[in-house]
Amino acid sequence: MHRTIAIFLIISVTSCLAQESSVSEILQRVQEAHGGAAFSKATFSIQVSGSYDVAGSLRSFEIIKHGHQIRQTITIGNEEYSTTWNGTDAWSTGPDGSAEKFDPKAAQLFGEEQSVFFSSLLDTPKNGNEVKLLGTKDLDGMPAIHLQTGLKSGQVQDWYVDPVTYRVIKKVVPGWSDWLGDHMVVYWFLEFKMFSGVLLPSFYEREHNETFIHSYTVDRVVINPKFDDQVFVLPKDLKKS
Amino acid sequence: MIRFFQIFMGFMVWGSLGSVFCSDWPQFRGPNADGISSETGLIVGWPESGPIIRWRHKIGEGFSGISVVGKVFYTGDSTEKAEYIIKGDNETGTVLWRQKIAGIFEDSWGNGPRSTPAVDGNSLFVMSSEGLFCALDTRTGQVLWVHDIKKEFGVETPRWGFCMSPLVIGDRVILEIGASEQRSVAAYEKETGKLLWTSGQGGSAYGSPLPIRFENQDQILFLNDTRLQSISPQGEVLWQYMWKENNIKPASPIFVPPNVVVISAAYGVGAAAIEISPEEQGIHTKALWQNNTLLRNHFTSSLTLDGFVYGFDNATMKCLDPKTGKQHWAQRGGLGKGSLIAADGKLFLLTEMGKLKLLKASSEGYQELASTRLFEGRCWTAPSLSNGMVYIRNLKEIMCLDVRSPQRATLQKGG
Repeated sequence: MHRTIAIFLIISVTSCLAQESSVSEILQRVQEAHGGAAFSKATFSIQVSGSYDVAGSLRSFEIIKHGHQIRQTITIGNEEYSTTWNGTDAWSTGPDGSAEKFDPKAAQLFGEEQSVFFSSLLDTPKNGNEVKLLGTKDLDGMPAIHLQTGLKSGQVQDWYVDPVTYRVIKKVVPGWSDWLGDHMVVYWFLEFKMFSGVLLPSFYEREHNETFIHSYTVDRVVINPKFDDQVFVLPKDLKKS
Repeated sequence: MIRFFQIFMGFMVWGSLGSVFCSDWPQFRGPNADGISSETGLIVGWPESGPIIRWRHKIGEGFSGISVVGKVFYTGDSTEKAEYIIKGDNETGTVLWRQKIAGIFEDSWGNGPRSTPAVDGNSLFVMSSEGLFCALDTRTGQVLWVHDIKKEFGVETPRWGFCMSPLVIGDRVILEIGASEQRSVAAYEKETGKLLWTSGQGGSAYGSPLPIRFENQDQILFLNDTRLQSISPQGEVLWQYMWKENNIKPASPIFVPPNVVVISAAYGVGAAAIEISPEEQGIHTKALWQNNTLLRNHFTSSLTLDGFVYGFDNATMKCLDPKTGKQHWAQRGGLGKGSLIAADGKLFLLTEMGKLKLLKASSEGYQELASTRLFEGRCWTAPSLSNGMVYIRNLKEIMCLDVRSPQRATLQKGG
């Protein structure tokens, strides 16, 4: 009973605070919570790596993001599988070097879903798009500020922010895969750590359409990493999907 | 003499407290098919050196649960070419016999049998992934009889194989078939394999039956692709509740005495609590609540303890009031779609990633007493518990851990 009352009070107070705070103020607090101006710089060009577990199958992962370009590499044993978005096209490459291009719609969705952590939330106003404040939401007993951003594809991304710490704790975004087609992808940002002065998720989970859970443990973050520009160049020999 | 007296008094004390030391786990989800053991005298945390692993062995792929009766255990595994049932020694884990039951069933998530053997006396009953329903002699492994469910009932192998586990009640073994024309469920005579009856409607959705007792009547609950239905051991359909057409509902129903059944499934289905009540003509059903995002059991089942339901909403573990649907707590992070069993006021949780966690069963909050990583690789099979030992497995290994309290271990050793 006391817990219920406490949650009600927190949501009520949060709602009031959220209504009083504008979207820009909330986004400012989110940025500050994650490292301030350093966060924007960091997430413009960043390399994140660690281990990744999907339904008990352990792998390692690496994500390189530079501006709007993203490349995610999963390593299973000695085999590397990469998916890349260069702002225009998306493609996947396999351990045998073969590459396959996504169709334009899938590419767009992949690029939008794969933004590293919450950089796309903070970048949305800069891109001239709207962020809406939808009030508060109860996330399994945990109150959260609910924000929504619009995408070029016409779809939306939903973001949930802790009203006390202003950490981003959940995002729900449209995604695409050859297995599930169009579907919703849910990210839970569960643990955070400082990496070079920036507070980033050190453990997060990703779930596609209520299927299997992908659990990421971040071991290493490099800000402004050195990388080969060619990784974001569309390969010449590729199959069209 | 003093030592004997101490041990004798220890047993007297334990006996007076109604402690249960030795309980078999003879079928899917335990003696009552509800994930709960009546055993007591279990640990409240691991020793400093970590959990006591009695033995650990490699095993072939399979999702079959581990049935434990007396000093032996049974489970299913596979090689590249075939599915097997194995019998092992509890003390050492040594395989005593290995019997082929079918050709291999291959699936990208894991090969091998999904059904858990049901053990009854000198017989064991199990389903292969391609639909061969077998009875084996537990002493030798010899196949006593076989039914080819696909041929006999005209059903196809489901996408992820036949997963249902049989249930033994009295002189018969009950199995969900999912065939048309009042053949959703079948009962066979244990001794001979003779088909006794078929009954019910609805296609199979990967689930297994739950026996309950309501108003002094034995009932068996089945959650299938279209409904929750109750069938008597004699084959009479007692009641049914139509619920959300979807052919993936592997989690077992939960019976919360005296009269509430909680059902749950993932893929957007959700959960519901159904109240059953006797009326002049049969049994009336009424939904107390329904919610499509509160509790979404994927392939692991929830359980009920002391009036609360513990289970997984996808990868978030929750505690709910079954009568109101009120959520008491939620815990997410590193659990995946974990598997739960309960004993002695505690929950044994095997996470999808291979950690075994000991939790206090409490509606106040998630309270972890101990945790340790024991496996690498996919863990989708729920633990089993018998005689103070927890049995766990994944696609590659099987393990036995001693989870007796130090006092109980001393008493049993002295005895």
